[in-house]
Amino acid sequence: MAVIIFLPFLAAAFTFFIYPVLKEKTAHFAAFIALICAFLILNLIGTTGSISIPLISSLDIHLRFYVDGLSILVGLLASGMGLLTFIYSFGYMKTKTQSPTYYASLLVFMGSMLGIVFSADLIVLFVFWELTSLSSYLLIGYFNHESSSRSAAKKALVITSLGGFFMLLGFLLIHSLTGSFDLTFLLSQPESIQFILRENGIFLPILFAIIIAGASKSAQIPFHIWLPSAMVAPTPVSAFLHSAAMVKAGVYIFGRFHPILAGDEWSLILITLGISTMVITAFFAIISTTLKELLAYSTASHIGLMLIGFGIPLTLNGVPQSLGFVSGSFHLFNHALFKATLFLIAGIITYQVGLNTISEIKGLRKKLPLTAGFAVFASLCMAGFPPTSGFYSKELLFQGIYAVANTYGGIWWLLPLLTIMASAFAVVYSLRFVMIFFGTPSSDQQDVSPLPLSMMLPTSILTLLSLLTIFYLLLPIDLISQSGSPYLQDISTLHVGFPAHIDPPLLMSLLSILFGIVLFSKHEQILKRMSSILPFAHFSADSIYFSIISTLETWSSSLTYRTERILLRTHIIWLLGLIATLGLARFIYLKPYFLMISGPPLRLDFLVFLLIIALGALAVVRANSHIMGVLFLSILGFMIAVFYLLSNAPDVALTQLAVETLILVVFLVIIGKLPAYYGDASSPRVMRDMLLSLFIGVTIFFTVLIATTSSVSKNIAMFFIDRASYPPTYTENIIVDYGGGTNIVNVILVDFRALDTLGEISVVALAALSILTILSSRKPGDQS
Amino acid sequence: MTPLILALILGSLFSLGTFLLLRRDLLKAILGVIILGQAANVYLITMGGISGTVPVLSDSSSLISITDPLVQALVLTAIVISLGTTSFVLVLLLRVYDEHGTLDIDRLWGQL
Repeated sequence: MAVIIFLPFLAAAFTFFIYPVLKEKTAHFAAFIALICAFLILNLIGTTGSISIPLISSLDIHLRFYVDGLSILVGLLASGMGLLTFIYSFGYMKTKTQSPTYYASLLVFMGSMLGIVFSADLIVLFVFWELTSLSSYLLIGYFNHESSSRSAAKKALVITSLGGFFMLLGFLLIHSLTGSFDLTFLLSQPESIQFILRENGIFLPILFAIIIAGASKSAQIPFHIWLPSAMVAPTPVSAFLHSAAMVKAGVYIFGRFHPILAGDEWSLILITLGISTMVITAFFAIISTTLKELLAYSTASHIGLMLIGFGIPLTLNGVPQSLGFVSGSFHLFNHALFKATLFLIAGIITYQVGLNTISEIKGLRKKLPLTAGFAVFASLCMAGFPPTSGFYSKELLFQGIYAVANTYGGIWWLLPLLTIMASAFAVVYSLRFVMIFFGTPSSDQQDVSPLPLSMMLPTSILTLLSLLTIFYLLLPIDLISQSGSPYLQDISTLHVGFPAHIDPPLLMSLLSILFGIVLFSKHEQILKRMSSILPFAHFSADSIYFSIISTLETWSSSLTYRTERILLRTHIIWLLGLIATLGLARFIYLKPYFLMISGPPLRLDFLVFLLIIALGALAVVRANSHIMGVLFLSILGFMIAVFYLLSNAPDVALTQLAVETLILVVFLVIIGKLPAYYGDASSPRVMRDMLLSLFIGVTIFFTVLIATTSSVSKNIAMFFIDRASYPPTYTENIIVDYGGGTNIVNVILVDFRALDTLGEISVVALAALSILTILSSRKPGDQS
Repeated sequence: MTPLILALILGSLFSLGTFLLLRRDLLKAILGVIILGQAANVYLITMGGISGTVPVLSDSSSLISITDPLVQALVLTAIVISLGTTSFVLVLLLRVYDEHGTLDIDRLWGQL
C-alpha cells in the first residue's frame, strides 16, 4: 500500500541519476513506474480498509492510508493516466528542451496525487495536496524562459495554495472538536461528526474552508482563471492535469468529504457554484481562440457539472438516494477519458501542423484520418451525444438535477434550464473542436511529419477504454459503490443504460443537443455581434487577480522598507515599549500594590549602598565625557560587589570585584583612542527616551515587587541544601565527600553544573579569540 | 519595606540603563547595556533572598535560613560571561571608530 505512494517519489529521485544514461528513454522508465503503481492499485480492487504507520505520535499524526471505491477509482485514473502521459511524453518531448526535472516533477505529481487519494490522515493529505501544487508549479512553468509560463505557474501556485491554506484551517477546526486527524474514524460515523460540528457552531466555517480548498484546485469560479493559463505547460502535462491530477484532486476532496459535510448548506453552495461555473466557463470555451484554451474552459465547465452531482441532496422527499455521489464520480471517470484524449489530440495537431489557433486549422481529416476519428468520438463524448459514455453519466446527472427541481420547485427550475443551456454550449464547443478536421484545408499547410507511435498509442488506448465503458457501464459504478458511504445502499436501484422511454432527463439531453446544434450553426454571427463586450468578459477575473497580486507586492515591499530599513534603536523602542505594556497590563491585573508594605524593614547598610548604586547609574547618564561615564560605571560595579557581600553572596562579590577591575582596565586602554562625547541632539528625542525609560522602570518595579514577595519554589536549591546537611541526618555528605568542598556555590559550579562552567569558560575564550582576530585584522586605510 | 525599596532601586537602574541604550553615542549605549546586565544580576540575587546566611558549610551554621546557592552560582556564571562579551563589544566599538571615524549612530546610519 505505502509502496504505491512512495515508489513514484523514489523513482523521481532516481531520475536524476539515470537521465544521463537513458536520455529521453527516461520516459519509459517513468512509464514503467506508473505501470507498477496502476497494477498494484488494480490489485486493491474489492478491498476496503486502512493501515497506519505512526509518524508524529505525540501530535496524533500518522501515515494512515485508506482504501475504498472512490480512492481506487481516482487512484487508477491517476496512475493509468500517468502511464499514458509518460508514453506520450517520449514522443512529444523529443522536439522540446529535455531535462530530468520534467520526468521527476511529473513522477512527484503522480505520486502526490496518489498520496491525496489514499491518505487517511488529514495532515498527510494536506502535505500531499501542497505537493501537487508545488509539482504542478514546476510543470506549468516548465518552459521557464517564457514569461507567460512563469506567470501562469505563479498564478496556479498562488491560487491553489491559497485553497490549501483554507484546507489546513478546515482540518485544524475539525481536529479541534473531534480530536482526530483520522479520516477513517471520521468517515466511520459521518452523521455524528457532523452533529458535533454543528452543535459547536463550527460546521459552516469548516464547510466553507473545504469548499474553497476544493474549488480552488478544481478551478471553479472565481478560481477558474489559473486553468486556462496553465495550458502553457507541455501538452502531456495538461492532459494529465485535466484528466487525473490537480483538478481531479479538487473534485476528489468534494467526494471524500461528501459524507461528513453533506447537508442543506452543502447542496446549496455546491449546486450554485457548480451551475455558475458550468455556464460561464462553457461560454468562455465557445469564445476561446486556441484548442487548449477551449479544452481548459470545458474542463472547468464539466467539473461544475460534477459539483452539481455531489451537491444533489442525500434525501429527496424523505427518500435517501445515492444518485448525486455516484453520478458525480461516474462523470469524473468519463471526463478523464475523453478530456485526456482531446488534449493528446491537441498535442498531436500542434506537433504535426504547428498550429494551435482554431480558426487557422481546417480539413485535417485527410492528413490525420485516425486522429480525426478519435477526436470526433471524444468530442461527442464531451458533448454528451448518445450512445457515448458521456451521455450516460450526463443522463444520470440530469436525473438528479430534475429530481431536485421537481422536489423543491420554484426557483429551482432554473437549475435544469441552466444545465440545458450549459450542455448546449458544450455541444457548441465540442463541434468547434470537431470542425477543425472538416472543411477545405488552407493551402499553405506543410506536409505532416510521421507521427511517433508513442503519441498515437495512448490516444488509441484512451479511445478504446472510452468505447469499452459504453458496454460495461456498471463497472466504474460498481467500483464507486465500494465506498464506505452509508448513502450508497440503494445503488442497485439505479438505472444506468439507455432509457427505454422518454423521460425528463432524456428530454433534457435531447433538448440541449438540439439547441446546441442550432446555436452552433449561428454561433459565429452571434459572437461577431458580441465582439465589443467579449474582451471584458474574458479577462475580468484575471485582472482582479493581477491587481490583487500587484497591490500585495507593493504593500509588502513598503511594509518591509518601513519596518526593516530603520535604526536598531527604533526596533528597541518598539520592542521594549510593547513588552513593557503587556507586562504592565498583566501586573496591574495582579494588583501588586498590596504587597508594598509587607516584609521586614530594610537594614540601613543595604539602603545606603543601594542608594549609591542608583546614584552611580544616574551619574553615568549625566556624565558629559566618556571617561567620567566609565568611572561612574566602575563605582556602580564596585558598589554592587559590596551589595553582594551584604546579601551573603561572598563568591559572587569576589567575582564581581575581579571582573569589574578587569573591565575598567579594558575601558581605560581603549578610551584614549575614542573621540570626545557627542552630547544629545534634540530635546524632543530625549523627552521621548525618558518617557520610555520611565515606563520600563515602572514595569520592572512591579515585576520585582511580585517576584520577591511571591513564594518561589526552591526545589533545586533545597536539593543542594538537603544534601549538604552537615553532619546530622545524612551519613554521606555529598557536598563535602564528593564535591570536596564546603562552599555550596563553588561545588555547584565545578561539580554539579560543571558543563555550564565549561561553557562559560568557552565563551570567555571565544571572546578572547575574536578580540585577537579583530585587533590583528587589517588596519583602516590598508587596502585589503 | 524591603521589597518596595528593592523594587524602586531596580526600577531606576533598568530605567537609566534603557535611557542610555537609546543614546546616539555608541559608547553610552554600551554603558547602558552593561548597567542593564548588572541590574539583572542584582535582581536575581534579590530573588534568592538577601537576608539568609552564607551558603558555606560549617559546624555552627543552620542550613534552614541559608540563601539560595543556585541563584548565586548562576549570577557568578553570568558575571564571568559579561566580562567576555563586554570586552568583545569594546573592541568592536574601537573597530567601528577606526573604520568610520565616528561613534555617532545617526552619522553611522547616514553612511549606510
